[in-house]
Amino acid sequence: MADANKRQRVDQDEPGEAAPEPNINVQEAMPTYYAKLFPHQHMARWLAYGNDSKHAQADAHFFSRREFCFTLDGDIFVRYQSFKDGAALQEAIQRRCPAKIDIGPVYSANPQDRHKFGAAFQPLERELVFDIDLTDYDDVRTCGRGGHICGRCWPLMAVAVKIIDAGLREEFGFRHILWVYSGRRGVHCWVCDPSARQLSDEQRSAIASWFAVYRGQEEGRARVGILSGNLHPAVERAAGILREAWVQTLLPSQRLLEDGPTCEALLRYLPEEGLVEAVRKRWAAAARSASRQHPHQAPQDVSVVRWGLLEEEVRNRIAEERSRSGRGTAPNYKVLGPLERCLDEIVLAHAYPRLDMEVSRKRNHLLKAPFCVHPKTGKVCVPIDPAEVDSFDPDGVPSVASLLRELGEAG
Amino acid sequence: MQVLANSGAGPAGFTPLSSNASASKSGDRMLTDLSMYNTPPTENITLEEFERLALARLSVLKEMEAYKLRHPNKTEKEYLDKLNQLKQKHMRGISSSSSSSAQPGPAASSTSLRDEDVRTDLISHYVLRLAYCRTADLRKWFLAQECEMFRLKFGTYNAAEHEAFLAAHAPQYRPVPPAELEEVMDDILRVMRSGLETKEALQRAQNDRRFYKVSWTRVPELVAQRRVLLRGGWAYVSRDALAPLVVAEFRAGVSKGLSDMARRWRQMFPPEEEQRLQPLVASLANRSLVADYSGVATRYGSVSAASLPSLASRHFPLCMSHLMTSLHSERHLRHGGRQQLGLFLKGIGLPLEEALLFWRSEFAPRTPGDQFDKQYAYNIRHNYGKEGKRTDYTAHRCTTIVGFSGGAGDHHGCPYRRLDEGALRTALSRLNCDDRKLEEALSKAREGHYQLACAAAFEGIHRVPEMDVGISTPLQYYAESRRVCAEREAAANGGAAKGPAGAVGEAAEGAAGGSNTAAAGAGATAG
Repeated sequence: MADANKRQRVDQDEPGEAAPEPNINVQEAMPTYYAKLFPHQHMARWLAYGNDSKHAQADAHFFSRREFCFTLDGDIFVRYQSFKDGAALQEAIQRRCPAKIDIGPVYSANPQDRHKFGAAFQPLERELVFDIDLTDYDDVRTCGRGGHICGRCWPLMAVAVKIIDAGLREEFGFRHILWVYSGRRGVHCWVCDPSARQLSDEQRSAIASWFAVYRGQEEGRARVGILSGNLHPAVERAAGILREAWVQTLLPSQRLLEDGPTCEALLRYLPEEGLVEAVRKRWAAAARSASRQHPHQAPQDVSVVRWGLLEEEVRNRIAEERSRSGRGTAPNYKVLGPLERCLDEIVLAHAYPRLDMEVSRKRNHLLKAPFCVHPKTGKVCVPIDPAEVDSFDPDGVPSVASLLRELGEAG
Repeated sequence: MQVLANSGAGPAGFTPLSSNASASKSGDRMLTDLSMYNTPPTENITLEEFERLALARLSVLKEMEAYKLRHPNKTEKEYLDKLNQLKQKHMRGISSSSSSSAQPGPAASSTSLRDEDVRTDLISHYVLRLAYCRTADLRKWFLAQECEMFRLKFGTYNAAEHEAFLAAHAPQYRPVPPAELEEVMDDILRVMRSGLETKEALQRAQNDRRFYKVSWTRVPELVAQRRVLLRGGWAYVSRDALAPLVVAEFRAGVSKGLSDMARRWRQMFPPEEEQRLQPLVASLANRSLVADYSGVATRYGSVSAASLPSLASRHFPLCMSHLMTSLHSERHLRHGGRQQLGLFLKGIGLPLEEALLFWRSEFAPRTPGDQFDKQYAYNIRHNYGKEGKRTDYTAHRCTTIVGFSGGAGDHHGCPYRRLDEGALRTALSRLNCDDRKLEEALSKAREGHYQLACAAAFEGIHRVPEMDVGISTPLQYYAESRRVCAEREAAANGGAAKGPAGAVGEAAEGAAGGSNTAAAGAGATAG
């Protein structure tokens, strides 16, 4: 806990961070947390999906075929735990105080009997899940790396949540979607519609690919899965959200176009050397004229200004190329194509959601349960409302220490 | 489907599954033309019809395959015409119901004709499933042929026919109503542009205006590549894009049916069936589709050792003439070659004494007489069923011969497989094969279609138009060769009266062949 705090202070530029938590051992707090704060009944009701004693047509064995995995203190990993009902789950959690609880699929048989079935023991049902982690954005965020998270890189997460959430609802028709803070540096998404739970591995893979516009790094640039300046409607929708956030939040908070390696990396997306030169010239000219500006005038953020100029130069170049082809002859798409794509490519490469594909693909992947406590930060994995994701403050997430303090004060 | 034995043994066999096998009575030709074969037939048929229907469909599938391999560059329409022609040839009028029905008026008869087509189609498909479900190779072949046939037929449907078929057999593909289409058309076009579809494709989509929507879970490949518009879980698919999807569903359905059948094999064939249905089904997979050529021996008069060389150069398939040449030059043949050639010679009617004479004289320079008797005579006699367990062995078929393996000094096996191109070229030119057919034979051999290569060589040597199927046994080559030559002579001789005969060497044969030709002609059409 202490080193997590230290790391946060070192990574961040601004002074005056949130007051450091009192140095409490997270693990010591777990028994009280599980006794008084963890929402056992809600979890059980959720995961039973109505297959409990209150419903007539319930499958009494449904809950007991769900795998839970406990990580006990000391990194002891205990898989294939199963429980008869919510009460049994609660009792086990309170008794063993796991540092982390993972939720697995509902299998064809009770996981504890799996050896009897051999190859017939298969996952049957499982929520569709996504995992987005800020570490995957380390090449495009300048405020920190690794486990760092702050109000300046949170917008990347926010925009990812908005895009995926809208996509799942509008494109795939899913309705029961839960977003959860992962406790340190990312978010998880649980899609719980019955149709989502029944999806095969191949179908999950297809959804993950649908959202895989960002396709990893290659030679210092991101590969973006677009073929032309004409975007697929789904990608266009995402790009619309991103372009707005790009100018309003991402450029200034991440200072992407201030002189430095990030700016140089960004310029590499421009397809022509001549274009890069033209852009640099514009920037230099703007800097000179800005310095002659009225000194009392509040300066516009330099990254935003530079982006505006860069956009202009690209559009001028496109217009030039189009007029060059003249009447009757088709434009030279080998030149025009990359020009038309590059602005979108830059925005998508820097900000389109970067999913962990492996998490979504397989039904038997274990994912951390909501309301777990992160062992290093002490923060609780709380649900996030996608409508309010912009105002979510990762630093203000309740931690087990603050919650226990509140409990104590309440008497 | 239950099958009645001809000898009235008790019913046994398949568990009757749920049925609505009777085709829809709508008059639409197309609905009955194509099926997803989701439900098996449930009726009683005789064993004999069971076999007849299966062989008919097998003929269609095999001949279609051969046609496509020989003519890879025809249009879809031409393939479809060929398919219809084959169906007409093999599958019309073969079902029992057609022969037993009375002669109703024209309107009723066209319906009953359609019903009959549906019935034979369904039954023959399922019987072939039985025959071809047991091994992976068989399943793969059957699946490939059936999917190809389905694809061909489905691909030629027009918009209305597609809609009718889908409504009846694949309702998960719903037509998009015009109002909805107006709303989504723009986005569909944008999807197409984002996927770099051609202008023509875009134009077609806008003109055709027939789109279908299907649950996205059925088209994961399209979703993974972002090649469809998705709205609320529905994927919008153009009519062009539809065909591969429906074919894929057809394929999945038949494939699943095949593996289910293989798994339940034991259930379907209880011990009673072991003697009755099971051998029949097993033989279907191996059946030669052309008649037995064992009658060729008697048809063309006896063969003697002396006549062999001339027969070899004119009537033998390459495998046998190659063996004859090697035998003659080396004065020896190894065991594999002796067996392959020896059984063939027996098949064409070489009597035992002539055979012994032939082999002895060929081997003579290297093998003295008594050594020959000791080492080789017994085997020859054994082949003729005069020794040991006295089995009358039949000549090997092509599939067996192609499968023979051999070492460096061996000359047996199928030369289209074993010889390199140069040697093949020499051999075929020596046999006077026409150039174009020679090249065709070589290319077929290169691709591994040895029997079609042999057929091409036959056509090149005898200057005949194309045969329907490949050669399935060397005896077939010989029989066809003799028939063609006999017919030619009959035509030549029939014109000229009894004057001095044209062809010299064939005079004797021609006289004998002339009287046999009528019989031969009848025999050949039966074969």
